[in-house]
Amino acid sequence: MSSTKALCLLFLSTGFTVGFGHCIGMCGPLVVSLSLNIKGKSIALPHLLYNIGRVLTYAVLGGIMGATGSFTGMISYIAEIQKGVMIFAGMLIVAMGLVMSGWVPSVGVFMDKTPLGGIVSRGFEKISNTKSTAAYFPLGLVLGLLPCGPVYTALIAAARSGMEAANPYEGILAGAALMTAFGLGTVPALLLVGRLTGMGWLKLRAKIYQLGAVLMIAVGIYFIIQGIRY
Amino acid sequence: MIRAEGTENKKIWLIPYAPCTMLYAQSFKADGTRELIWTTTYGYKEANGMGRGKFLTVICTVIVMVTSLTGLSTAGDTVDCDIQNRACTKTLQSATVTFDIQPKPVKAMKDLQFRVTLSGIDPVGEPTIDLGMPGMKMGPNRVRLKSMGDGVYAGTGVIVRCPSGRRIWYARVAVPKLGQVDFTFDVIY
Repeated sequence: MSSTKALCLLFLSTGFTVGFGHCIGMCGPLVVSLSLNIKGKSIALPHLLYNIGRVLTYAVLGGIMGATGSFTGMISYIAEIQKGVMIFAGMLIVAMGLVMSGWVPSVGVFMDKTPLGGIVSRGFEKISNTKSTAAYFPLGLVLGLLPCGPVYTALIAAARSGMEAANPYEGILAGAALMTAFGLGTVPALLLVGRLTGMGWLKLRAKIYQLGAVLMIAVGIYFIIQGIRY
Repeated sequence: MIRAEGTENKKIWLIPYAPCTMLYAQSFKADGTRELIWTTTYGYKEANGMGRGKFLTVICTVIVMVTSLTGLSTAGDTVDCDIQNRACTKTLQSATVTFDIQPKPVKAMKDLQFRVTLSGIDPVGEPTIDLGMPGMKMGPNRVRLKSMGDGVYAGTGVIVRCPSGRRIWYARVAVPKLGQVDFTFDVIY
């Protein structure tokens, strides 16, 4: 077995184990938010699209790391983007929590009377009330950029495989394959969390739903604070 | 609740809660950290309405998540190496292992030079360093070391940043034929 295949298998299993330990704790709140936001639609397809988007972003990042062979060199370029994505994710969770709680109508979350508020609100409306589940794919693409320790570790391995590749093209393939394997490994855990929290009967229990909304707002604020401090 | 001591340092809980029985197993490592091995629930679905089994599955999952996170945030967080100021030395059987990282201050997301110095033993194979966080799986991050002569081994690696804000990391130095020793230290973000 070639070293790239062995690395892919290693990171597939790493993604699987990290998914059930680390990802559920760190990204679980985001997935729960997405689940609770899906109204009257099949839960599986949006989550699948979200995860495909996320894994695709990992693959692109892995390809870049493989091409350059430098983790620290490349990560410094995307650090600010990651910070922004973390703050965005926090705002998204808070907004979804506020709408879920029923305390604030969805159109009022972002102060529609201001020009910026209107733009943000329309964007949020598209995500939260879209008729098409396809919106979850670009959401996955963006949220795949969230800063994450195990993703960084996998990217280090992707950069290393790029360094050892015969040429940049091989490096791109090796890095992208490794990150795809890692991302696929994390999918089962996040799908499971999405499936459990997306059960219709759960949404029908008002107290659980409201408690979930409060927890989401708290988690969203935590994301925003961590994003600002990042 | 029945607690059963498993083989070596594994512990298994059986939590009967009619009609659900939850099996929950954790592995306790020598360094005080713990990891979830598996969990499962058995229940039955009621004739109408929501299945109680489903409800309990969710409750059990939440318990497992909370317990895992509690473990992640508290286990094995004791710093025993002041790497920001000096190299650290520990004994491993008959050998002395000195561990150092340059440049200082030691920061995450930067290329770092790792150095291991072995003394008190005959030359052995090249040691390795595995970087990780106590109680939190961060994926395999191994630093390959090369011999610089006189029992000194060096290599380049990166300590990644955890968005949770936790800064305590460990370096597990494995020496062929001797075993391994952990150095736990703070990293600057």
